[in-house]
Amino acid sequence: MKTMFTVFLLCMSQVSYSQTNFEQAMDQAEALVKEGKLIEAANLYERISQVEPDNWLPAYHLALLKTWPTFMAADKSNVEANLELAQEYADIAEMNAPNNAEVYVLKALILVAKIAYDPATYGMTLSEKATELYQKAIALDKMNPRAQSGLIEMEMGTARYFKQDLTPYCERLQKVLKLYDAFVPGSKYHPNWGRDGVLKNLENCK
Amino acid sequence: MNLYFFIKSLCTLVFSTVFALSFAQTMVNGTVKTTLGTPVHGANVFIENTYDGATTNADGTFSFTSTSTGIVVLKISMIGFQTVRFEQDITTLKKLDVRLVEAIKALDPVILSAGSFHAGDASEVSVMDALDVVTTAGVAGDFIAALQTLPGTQTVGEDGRLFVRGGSADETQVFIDGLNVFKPYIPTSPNNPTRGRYSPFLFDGITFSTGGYSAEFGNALSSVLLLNTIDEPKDTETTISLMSLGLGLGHTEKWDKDALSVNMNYINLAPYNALIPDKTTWIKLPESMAGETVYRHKFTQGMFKFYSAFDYTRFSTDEDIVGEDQQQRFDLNNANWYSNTSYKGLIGAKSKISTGLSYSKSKLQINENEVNVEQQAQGIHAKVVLTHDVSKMLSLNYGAELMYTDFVEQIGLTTNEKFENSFKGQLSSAFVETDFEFTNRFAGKFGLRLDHHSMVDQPRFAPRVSLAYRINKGEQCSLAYGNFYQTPFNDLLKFHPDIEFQKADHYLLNYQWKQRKQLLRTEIYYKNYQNLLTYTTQNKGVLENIQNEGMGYAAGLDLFWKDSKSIDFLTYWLSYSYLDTKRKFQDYPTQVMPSFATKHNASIVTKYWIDAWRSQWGMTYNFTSGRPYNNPNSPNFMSGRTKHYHNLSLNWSYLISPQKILYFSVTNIFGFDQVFGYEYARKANANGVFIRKPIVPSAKRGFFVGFFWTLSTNKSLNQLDNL
Repeated sequence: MKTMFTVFLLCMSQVSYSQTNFEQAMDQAEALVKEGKLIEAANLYERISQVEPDNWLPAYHLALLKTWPTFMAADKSNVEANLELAQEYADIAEMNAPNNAEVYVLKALILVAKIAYDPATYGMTLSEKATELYQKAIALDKMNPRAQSGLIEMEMGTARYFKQDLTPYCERLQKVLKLYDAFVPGSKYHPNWGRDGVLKNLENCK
Repeated sequence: MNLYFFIKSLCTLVFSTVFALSFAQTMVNGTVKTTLGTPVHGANVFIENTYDGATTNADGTFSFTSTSTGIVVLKISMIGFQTVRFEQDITTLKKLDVRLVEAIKALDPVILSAGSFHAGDASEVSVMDALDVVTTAGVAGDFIAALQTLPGTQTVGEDGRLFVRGGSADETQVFIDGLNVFKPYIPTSPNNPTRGRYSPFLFDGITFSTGGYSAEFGNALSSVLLLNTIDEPKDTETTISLMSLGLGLGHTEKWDKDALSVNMNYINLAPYNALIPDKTTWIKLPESMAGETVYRHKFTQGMFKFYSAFDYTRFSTDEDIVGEDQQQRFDLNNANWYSNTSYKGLIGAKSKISTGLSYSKSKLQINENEVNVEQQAQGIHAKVVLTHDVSKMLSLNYGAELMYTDFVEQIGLTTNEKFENSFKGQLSSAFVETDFEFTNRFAGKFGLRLDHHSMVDQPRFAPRVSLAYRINKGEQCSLAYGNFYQTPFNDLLKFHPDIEFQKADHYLLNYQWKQRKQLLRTEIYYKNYQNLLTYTTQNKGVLENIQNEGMGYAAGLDLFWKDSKSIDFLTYWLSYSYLDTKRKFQDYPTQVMPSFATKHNASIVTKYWIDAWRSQWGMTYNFTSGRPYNNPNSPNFMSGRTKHYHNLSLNWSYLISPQKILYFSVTNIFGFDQVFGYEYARKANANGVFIRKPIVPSAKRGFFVGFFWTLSTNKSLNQLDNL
């Protein structure tokens, strides 16, 4: 009996040594992102999301992957469809993780992408909504660096347009950099991006 | 410890074997193409509820292995295409030839678009947004004037109200949140154009139907204008407007579930007129005070709104009388109160209720040539509408409404004679309507409306039908037919005539082509009028022989093209309307083209954004062919035609900062002579000739300067310092 139990325990430990399928898939998706295979990565996140419908992370990453490339896309024909899909998955993420600052940042980012895509149509109507979402994110977690930098970058864009002094925004971005340094993600699959963007933005401050 | 290693190897062995056995790898492969045979790159092909899958290559091929066994569901998803599912044994999923069908988005349904323009909302048929209304040159922030750049409307420069497809202005009804607005326009002196009473900023959905509208709306022969107040304001903010015509102040306060907006305006034309005098002999320049408020409360299942507006206007002029030397005094005082409450909400998962009550009270006092007219009108409108989604394809919409009017008019003459005209009348109506979506290409709406008025002879049933068929993505055809009834207006009802409902039949055929930022809309229509009211005019404005002897028709073509795509930063639209109409109504002796109708109507509206200057330049050009007028010197009734009408207006808005906007506009910049008609002397002169005077705008050009400032309390600056 004792031997059986030992065998069982040992076997269990054997299983825990090997990665779960979820982790393996998440790692693979991240690797694909690093290789620049964004479509493949997005498709993998979609597959993970349908296996793990209660987990907000794959939906979050999929939405993020559908949003980021639209800023750079040369072909604008699919931008709206991609952002619509991003919105759909952001909603799934929100359903699984309500009142999560990261999800609010994501939703704000989708709106910013929409504004960047067609400022004439969406500029007026969505910029205030995006600001509101960033503010909600900050209210939920004021140490979240992405919420802070997202809001500052939006305000900075406006200030730049109206040719106002950027110094106060630059000072605030410097402070946010410290938030990035202090940030500890919930797991290696949790959102942990944005520092590079702030550094790049800070270059404009010199 | 040997035992330990032994067991561990055993476990590994057992597990590997179990894994190998249960996760036997099966190959799945094939190609994904469109229905036209083009390979689809980037499609997601996977076994449902597993991680197993692949992305298609540039040539559309895919291949992956799966550990699933037996019957599985293979899914293929791709943006812009309908998702495909195959449910079959995994071993048979080889060398698949998958064809993807282009998706018709849920956002892109067939729309029953015959007759109607939507503005301000995000709907597919939206032609204008709130900002368009404000930045259209020549409209000075008046959404009624902005709507007049759409086809199907006629420019009637001395009136300013909405004249739709050969119908008089009374044939258009205005609704706020589904409830009737009894007095949608501000009062003006004779031959000066009016404006809409309500601020465009309070509404986010404007539907302007030029015919064939839903059975939910009645008592309008030609057109309905539906205004929906904003459900959820963006932010707590204060707006200040300084204009050459007056001042405005607005404030919106937003809480978690409630929001309150208040808007006040004070208009005084005296300073402007001192700088740029017009042709009118003013005794007291128009002065008005207006206020509006909207309160909203969000329930978990619904939304409650309270809207209320009041305004007070007064002015006094001396008017020339054609053929006489002396002038005639015209004084006007008007006070108007309007409130409406509405509730919209869900009942269960498949039903909606929308209900409301509006009350209006207005007092109008006019003193013309020492005849004093005082009118007091009260109106109540109560309405309830229920909607049930019977199935995905069918929804049912039905409701009832009651409109009550209490009207009293007192006329005092210099001779101390007094008349009083009054009536109390109620219009009760019920309607039922079904929406069918036969297929995702073909939809229809079938409605029936019953109207009964306490002062009008017979109740009337009005059937209405509209159908829409999608030809291609963004391209559709629709048609509509319906009967429309309307009671006579207060000015006639006060004489208690023995009459019937006036009637119009609409036939509409519409073609629409819409792409992102481009819209082409063409519509042909025919309208048949019956039972229009006719009368003879006696002295002192008393109308006699009021009967339903009138009739008429209107037929025409409307064209609309809007484009914000072809040239960067340029938005423009072109409207053209052709109208052929004749009618016998009021005191017309025969059936003729009425004085407000014009054969050709065209508008060009352009808006160009210059980013470096943070400015928008706008230009609006209106053209109208000659208007009919009656020359009593001619034996033929209404045979005169004025010269063509041209108007070119320019505006410039400059964004000083995100919160401050400076706005300039000039109407009729080239000073074209505009003649709206002629006013003839009541009596012929010594030579037996009726002399005349042209009806022209009181000033050749109009100038407007405004400064708009938004103070948002939602400033997040320095939030970081609190960390």
